[in-house]
Amino acid sequence: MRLLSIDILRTVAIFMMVLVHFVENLASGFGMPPTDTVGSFHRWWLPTGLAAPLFTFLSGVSYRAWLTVQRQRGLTDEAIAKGTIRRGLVLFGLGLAFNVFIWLPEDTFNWDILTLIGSALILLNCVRRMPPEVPPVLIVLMTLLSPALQLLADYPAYWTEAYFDYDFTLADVLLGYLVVGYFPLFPWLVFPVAGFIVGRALPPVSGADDQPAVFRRRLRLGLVAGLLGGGSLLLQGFVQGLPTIGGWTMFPASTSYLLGMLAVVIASLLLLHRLVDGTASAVAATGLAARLADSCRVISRHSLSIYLLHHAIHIWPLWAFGLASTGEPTAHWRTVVSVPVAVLLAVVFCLASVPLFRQIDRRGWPTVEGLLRWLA
Amino acid sequence: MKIGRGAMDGQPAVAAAPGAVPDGLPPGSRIETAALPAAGELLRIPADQPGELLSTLVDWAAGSGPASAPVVIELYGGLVVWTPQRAAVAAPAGRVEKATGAVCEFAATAAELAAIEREVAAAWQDYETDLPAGFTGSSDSRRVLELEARYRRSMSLAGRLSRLSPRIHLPAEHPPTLAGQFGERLRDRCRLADREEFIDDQLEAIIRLYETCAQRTSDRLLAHREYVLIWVIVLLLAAEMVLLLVDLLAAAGG
Repeated sequence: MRLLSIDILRTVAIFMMVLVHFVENLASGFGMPPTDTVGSFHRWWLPTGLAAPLFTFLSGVSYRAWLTVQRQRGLTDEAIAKGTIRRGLVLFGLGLAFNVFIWLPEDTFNWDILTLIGSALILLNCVRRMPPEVPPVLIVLMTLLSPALQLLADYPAYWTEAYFDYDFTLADVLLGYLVVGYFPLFPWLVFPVAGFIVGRALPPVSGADDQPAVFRRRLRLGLVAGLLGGGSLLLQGFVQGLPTIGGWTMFPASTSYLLGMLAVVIASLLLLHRLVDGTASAVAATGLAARLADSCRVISRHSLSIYLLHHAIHIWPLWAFGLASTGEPTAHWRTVVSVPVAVLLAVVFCLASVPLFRQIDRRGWPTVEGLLRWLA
Repeated sequence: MKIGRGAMDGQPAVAAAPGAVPDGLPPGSRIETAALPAAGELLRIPADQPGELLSTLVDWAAGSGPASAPVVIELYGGLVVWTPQRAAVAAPAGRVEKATGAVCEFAATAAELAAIEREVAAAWQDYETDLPAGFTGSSDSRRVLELEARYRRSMSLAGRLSRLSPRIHLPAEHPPTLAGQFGERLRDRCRLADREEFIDDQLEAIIRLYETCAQRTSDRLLAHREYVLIWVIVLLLAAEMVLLLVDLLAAAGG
């Protein structure tokens, strides 16, 4: 059973990601003097920092739903573990291959979101065996530990030009994976684990769980979201002296950012689930609403393909143009077009992706999701 | 001495109105409503020749409802006709008070025993459902509460039966009295001692199951707590390792 709320949120996450990547990779330094540093968060309207938490959180929610389905199919624990680890390893390998082919070999170990989700799946295979009281402890520990780790690893030393710049040494590669990369385990694993916990509050496929218990869980989660949001505001208000705790930064993911984004993603899921997942509203959806819902399902089903495709479609021409014009592939990175053009390109891509993937579904062409299912 | 059971003459019972003394009884006869358990009626008759009233009293007692045929005990110039809803005691004026007391005490004992029997019979359905929990226990909080409630109910029934037991196994008075004899014969005729023994056996089986459930559930709870603690310790150790590793890597990289 697919939940429309998850499909909508994943679609929103993907579209935000497309917009942010198009603008940042094509236009974030457009028109700036070469001496200026291109920093993050310089455009207030750009939803930087929203998509990745949502995407990784939903991977945890989806894993919980997948787990329920596998158990209902009567799969043994061992089979589920093997399936999970295979999926995790395939995603991890795909992430590395993506880095090589999209960001070129020198950025093989920049630790993008696919390697994070692959690692998260392998960790979730362990988390699912824990008693329900333990995963929240894991989240708290990771949240508390992360600022200390960022301090120990000297995070700013790896981010001098607003991107992760590492040496090809074992120490840097491992530190990138653990703490200082784009999406290191600390603290980004918090989101998939939180999604896995929150997934319990969504309706089970069989409907066997009793409604009052589910309602109580949702109420508790709503309160937790409120507390997390409040905690984030408090940290921003009172711990401004320590940017890794009180600052609102995605790189590094500060504690207040972590708490705030957790509050946002939990509240969004609960709210949307309440609004659109009811049987009556799902059945009654007709016309434009039904078409939109169907589009969200298509995008959500092919989110991995879209993630890969949107990179290929705007990065490869950029590298080709750079190579052709200057001999250096990255020569025009961030400066090739103006921001409105980049936004327009992102919108065109998003609009075109729906019919494209509908067509792919209709014709039964192979996709990355199909490959993942076949391999794992 | 005459001890009999059932309607004496085979005539259909004529129900007297509740609270109304049947016709043909000696003066001084009176009905005490709610003298017996479950608002039963007690008819008290001071009479020197109670045997003559037998058929009237049997008809009166049998007219109380669909209960089984009345128990009739005629003994040493006294007569008792008893159903769970109605009881008639006829005895010479000087003995009627004590005889009535003995019948009331018996009625209370029999009613309590019947109530326990009904509750034990109902408990057997839960017993079958709860058998698996006797082996594995339960971790579901609602289920644990259910099992706890059933354990408490079983223990409560056992307690009630224990308190009832002295009244069932009351030794015969010496020298014998009419009241004592009535009580003893009534207990004997209604097989209170046997029924108490059967119920005791049944309750033992039920309690054994719920004690096992409690033990298993408690074991599970303790094991779960230890399991949580172990995981938390593992996480703390892992955190320490990560801190150490990052420190080492940072030193190596720097």
